[in-house]
Amino acid sequence: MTEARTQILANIRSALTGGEPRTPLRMNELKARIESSTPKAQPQFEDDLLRRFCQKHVAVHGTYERVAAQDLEGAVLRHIGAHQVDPQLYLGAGPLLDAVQWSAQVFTYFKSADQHTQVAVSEAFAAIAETGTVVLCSGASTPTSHNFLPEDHIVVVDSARIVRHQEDVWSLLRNRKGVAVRAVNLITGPSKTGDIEQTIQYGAHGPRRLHLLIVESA
Amino acid sequence: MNSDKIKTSTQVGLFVTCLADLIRPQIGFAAVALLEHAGCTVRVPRNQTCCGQPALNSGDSVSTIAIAKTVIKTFAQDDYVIAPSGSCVDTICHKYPELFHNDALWAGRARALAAKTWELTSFLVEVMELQQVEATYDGVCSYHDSCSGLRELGIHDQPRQLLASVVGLELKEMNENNVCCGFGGLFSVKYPDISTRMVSNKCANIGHSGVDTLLGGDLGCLLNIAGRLRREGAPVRVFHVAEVLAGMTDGPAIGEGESGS
Amino acid sequence: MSAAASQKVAFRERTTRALRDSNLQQAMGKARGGFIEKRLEAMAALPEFDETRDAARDIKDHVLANLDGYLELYEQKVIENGGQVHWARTAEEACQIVADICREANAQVVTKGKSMVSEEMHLNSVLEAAGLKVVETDLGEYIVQLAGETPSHIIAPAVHKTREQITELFHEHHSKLGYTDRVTQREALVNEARSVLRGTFVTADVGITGANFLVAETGANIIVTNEGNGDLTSSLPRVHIVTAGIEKVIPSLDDLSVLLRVLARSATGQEMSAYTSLYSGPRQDTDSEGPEAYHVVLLDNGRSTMLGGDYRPMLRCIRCGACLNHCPVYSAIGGHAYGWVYSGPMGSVLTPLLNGFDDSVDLPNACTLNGRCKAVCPVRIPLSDLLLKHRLEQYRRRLTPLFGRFLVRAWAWVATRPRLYQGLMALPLWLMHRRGRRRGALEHIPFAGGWTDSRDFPTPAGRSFIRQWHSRKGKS
Repeated sequence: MTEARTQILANIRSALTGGEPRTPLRMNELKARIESSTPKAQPQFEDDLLRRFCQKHVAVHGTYERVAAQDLEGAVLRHIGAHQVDPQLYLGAGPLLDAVQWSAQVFTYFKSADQHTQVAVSEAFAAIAETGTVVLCSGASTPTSHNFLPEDHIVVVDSARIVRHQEDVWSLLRNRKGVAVRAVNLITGPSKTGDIEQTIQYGAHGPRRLHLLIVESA
Repeated sequence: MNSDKIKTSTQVGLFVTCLADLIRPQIGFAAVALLEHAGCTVRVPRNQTCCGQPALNSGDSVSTIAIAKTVIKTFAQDDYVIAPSGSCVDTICHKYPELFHNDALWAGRARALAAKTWELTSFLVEVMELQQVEATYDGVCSYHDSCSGLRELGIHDQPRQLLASVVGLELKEMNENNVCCGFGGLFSVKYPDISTRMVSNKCANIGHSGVDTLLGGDLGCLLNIAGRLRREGAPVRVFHVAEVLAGMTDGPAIGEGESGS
Repeated sequence: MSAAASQKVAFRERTTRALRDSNLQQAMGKARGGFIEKRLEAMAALPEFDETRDAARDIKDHVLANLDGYLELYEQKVIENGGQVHWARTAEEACQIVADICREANAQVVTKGKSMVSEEMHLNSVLEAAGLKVVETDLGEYIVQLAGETPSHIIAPAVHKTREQITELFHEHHSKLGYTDRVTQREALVNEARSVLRGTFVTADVGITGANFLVAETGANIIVTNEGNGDLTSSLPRVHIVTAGIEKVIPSLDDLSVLLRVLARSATGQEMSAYTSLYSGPRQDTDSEGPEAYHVVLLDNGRSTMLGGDYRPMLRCIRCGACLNHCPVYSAIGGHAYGWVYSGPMGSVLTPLLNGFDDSVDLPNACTLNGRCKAVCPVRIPLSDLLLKHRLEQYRRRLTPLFGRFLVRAWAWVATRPRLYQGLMALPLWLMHRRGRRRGALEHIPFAGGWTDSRDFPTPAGRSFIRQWHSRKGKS
């Protein structure tokens, strides 16, 4: 196996430079390019990030409600009530979500989702105005399975966490304290497929509905 | 206009292209008429045959180089070289210089030829700044954008701009007007099944558009389309755009009999 | 020569069959316009699209020019994150690596996200031979797996199947699982597949995905899907294996953003696919879930050789499928006629390079060089120019039929002698004119059945332009 590695790298070098060994100098140049990486060719758009974010989210078949932080439970109940789903919530974590005092009207679970999970409520690490995307990071209390197994995925978005471009998320991730995140999921609308007759059908393998609760920070 | 005086002296060599030469000479006469109308002095060198595309597309670079040298020599003296075909001009402008990348002398000559070679309608509009022609055509026409002209030379608006000045002509775009008709030179006889499917799609789009005439700037495509339309029995007339612009549409269209059927 | 000849027959047979296959033609007809329109809409909504394409091309060119370095930097990161990187020179080596990982994990069931590299490796058959149950989870891949076929499109694997065919396939395979009703509506078909596959997702031991990109900055593999199957495959099983070509590495997350902006737009006309995910290793101490082991298998399989020659631009390919969607030949014959895993223009360039020139003589020739593929490529690969390059290479290697080469040579010899050419052409032109003058077109021309079997040939005028001009005008 190390033989394969050696040979592939040697083939590449011989194709590129006629076989010269790579120098530490060149490796440092490449590292420097990564470390000093900057955004390129970004699309320009209006300044109202919240409005743009909502428009783009709706354009990909998402739904949302703008709510006050203290009304999060009410908003969750309104959504699951409208879709006649049992109030059994698989909960993620985040500053806004952690502050909710859940009433006896709901059952809450703090564990991985399974194939029977109906609803998960997550809080976005960030959101991207450019494309109407929510960003979710894996962690001790934010399991990735919540993003993909439930029928309904409800995501709390702090409007202050809506960034302009995708690259702004990378900056946030780079500045994030603690261990690097294992999984970063950029989610843009509910699950869908075009594999039958090239016609979009929602609810392929992931959530059928993606509902955002957008909390405007003071 | 002042510039007209200067342009009267514009000298061009006509590369008529092998297909127009052998099958539809009227395109050559139409091209000459248009160029002269625009104020050019036209030379038609006798020493011309083909641009070499069939050899190039067959992978035979040796033959292509031999033909390219003939073309380069033939037109060395002209100020401009004009051809009524996007694909032949693409070959001269983009493929010749590459063929000679190992031969500095011929590469220079090839680049010089490439720099002065133009497709007919784009030359008339962009260089001669021709705004309108004096022609009449009573019909509803669709324009098929041939691939090399459209994608390699950016020919799209130029023929349409000139056609807009033809009295009585209505231009109606069809669906997929920029999709290949399936000609592809030798492709059409090497892979006839695929070629036929493609040209059938083209004919269906022509049919749906409801036009009575199809125009284009490359005779290869037009032979293919006209040939298929005839076989399908579709009553659509086919002309090279130069014929319409030069008002040479009294005789049979491409693939039409002398009785006009 | 005989191998080339037999391939030729095979290709022609496959295209003839495809053109007569009414299901295929119906399905392809339905698909044809949609992709193109959606891409145009997405382009119109992004004024910076062309400049983004230039940036995407430049990023890929930069990586390819420094590929060894970026692969090593990427590898370091994966190891730091607790993952393992395996290198495979050939498809066989890669399959062996994956099979060994599965065996060591005592795996029974493997779920797979859509991966063209694993198709290139013929991984499924190797794993099945090793006794594993392998389940494709992308709906399109699942459909072709049920049908015992291979994908016919790199992003729409079942584009060649009609809804009626899918109904029958599901009925045949799902009845024994208790789904006895024959469902015909799209929504019901998607729901049935969702329901059937859900159980597999949660019980699989190993998940195998491809990678749209590998990011050297963080060691993450990027997987882009609309269904979410790639994420369920990456996240739920005990072991996650990523199979990827060595050309998939890119420097930074900022580079990723540029490439993502052109990928989904070119593929499906979306600004972003529903799910774009970055996975960078096994579960960490603090994680409550995620795979215990994370492996990346880097496959060369001819790519490092491509790097050195004129075909290097082909390694920029991000597998968006735009060239397939815009290719009128692909649209007429579908992907299977191409005979290998990659089809359409990118397949016709890649197959000879990865799978051998001798067995793919038709691919670069079954093309009109109309250039639409080149015009739509998000990383500006000059696909039609590379196909022409293949033809020149075939000629050099004498892979094309001798008689055809002789004819072209002879014709070219005449064409460089204009007076002779004009003299030789005069008689056939006159004869054809005589025969077809009244009708205006010939219904049959000897030795040109390829044309006249399905098309008339417009009658030549009888005398060439050059001869008419010079005799009429007396000019020279």
